[in-house]
Amino acid sequence: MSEPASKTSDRETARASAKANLLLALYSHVSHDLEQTRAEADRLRLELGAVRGEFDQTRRHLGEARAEVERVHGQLNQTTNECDRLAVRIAELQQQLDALVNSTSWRITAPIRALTRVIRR
Amino acid sequence: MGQIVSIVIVNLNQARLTLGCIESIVEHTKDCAYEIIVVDNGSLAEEIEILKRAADRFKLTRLDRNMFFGEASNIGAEQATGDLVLFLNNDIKVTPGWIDPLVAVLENEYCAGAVGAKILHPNNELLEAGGIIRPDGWGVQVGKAGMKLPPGFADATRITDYCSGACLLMRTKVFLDLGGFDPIFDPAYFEDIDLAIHLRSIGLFTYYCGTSVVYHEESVTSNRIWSAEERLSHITTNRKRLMQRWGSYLARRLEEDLEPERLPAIRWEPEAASSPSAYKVVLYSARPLKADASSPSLLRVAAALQDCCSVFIATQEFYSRCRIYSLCREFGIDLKSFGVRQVGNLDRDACQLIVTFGGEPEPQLSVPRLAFDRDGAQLLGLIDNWMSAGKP
Repeated sequence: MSEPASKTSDRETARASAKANLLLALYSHVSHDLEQTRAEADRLRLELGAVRGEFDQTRRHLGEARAEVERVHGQLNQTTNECDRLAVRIAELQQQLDALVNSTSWRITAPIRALTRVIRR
Repeated sequence: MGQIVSIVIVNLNQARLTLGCIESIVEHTKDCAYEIIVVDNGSLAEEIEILKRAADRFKLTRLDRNMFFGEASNIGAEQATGDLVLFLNNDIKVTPGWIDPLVAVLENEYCAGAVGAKILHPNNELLEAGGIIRPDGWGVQVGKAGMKLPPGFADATRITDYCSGACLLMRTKVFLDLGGFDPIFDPAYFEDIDLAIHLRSIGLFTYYCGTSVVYHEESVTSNRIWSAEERLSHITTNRKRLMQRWGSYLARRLEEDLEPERLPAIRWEPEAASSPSAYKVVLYSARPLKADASSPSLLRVAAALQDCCSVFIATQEFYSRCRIYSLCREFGIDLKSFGVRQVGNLDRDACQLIVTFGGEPEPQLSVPRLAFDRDGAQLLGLIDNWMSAGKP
């Protein structure tokens, strides 16, 4: 048996009202979700900014550290070169000294050097 | 208003909270006849003692273990003497004039099947001004967490998709005819949403009543008994179940003019024990009756026997008839006439045969017994004979 017309219209009104309420509430829910998502996006953007700032600072620090390393490295190279140069020089002088000590004239003049030391005392 | 409202409150080890809820009801329910039914989900003895201090204010039903919100509510509703039943969480405090608007909406609004109140947090934040169900099955508590609403939306009386079981008024008969909170959602979550769609499928609407206000602490029990992972697991499983049942309606209803399809109707009948001469058969299961593969055989045998015997389902637990009807609906079994008893409460003299299911320990009754898994053929033969003879 079908419902009388007034009942049908009551039912249609209730169904329409139910749908309207659902859509209104869904709209509020979706807006709220969107708002929250936006707030979250803003928060993430801020966080990203902060992280970027930190990253830049770290990169700057890294650059400075790299320069420092290069400077120290250069110094080290210089020092090493100087060491090498001095080692060569020492070897040359040692050779000259050896040659001198072993030379005939050095040995002949040995008594004179000894006498000179005694007189000076 | 002449109708009695049966207020059903489920308690689990929170006697003081429950008593606080009851006190608020007693204080703020003036012009409405009501009874309070507390269903205890297996609390500790000391908690029961605390509850009993105010025992003159409510009827207490004690369950041996936690049957969870849905089943405990069904058990409470079946004991209701009122035409109206109101489910109330025990962490709710009601406010002056809370109940009359709810009853008025149920009585006066067009095809009102259920009505819920405005739910506020104790800090006055809005927790729920009715609920809506998204196309993906998630329930949204309207107005929660600072959700901006159209002007007057939270104070109006209007049709909504559902109201949470935290505070929900229905006609007792309608609730029971639907099978109550469906056990397929055990242990919890989505049973209130399912109930509301179920109502809609039989042409009734759920209303939100913005002039009835209650305060709610929310999830006090569930936060205590489950970890976050367990809760998430129940929620995930039950959303799937909801979508299996109503997914097509929920997904299409915004675009189409659609109502949810009716589930098979439940036809409540009184217990069959009315005729003292009837041959009484007890079907006993030591396993819980739930929506899994272990329950249908007992229910099928019960359905086969119902026309020629008084069938009693005996279990370790206290179950609602709602539960049995809902499980039968789930399994497609047409069982109408039966009794359900906790095994300790069986009437031991008036039973002629016990059929056991699953071979677990049997109740100690000195009557003939058949084990369904062992003597199934014999039982079927008996049933055939009884059916053809019209009686045992």
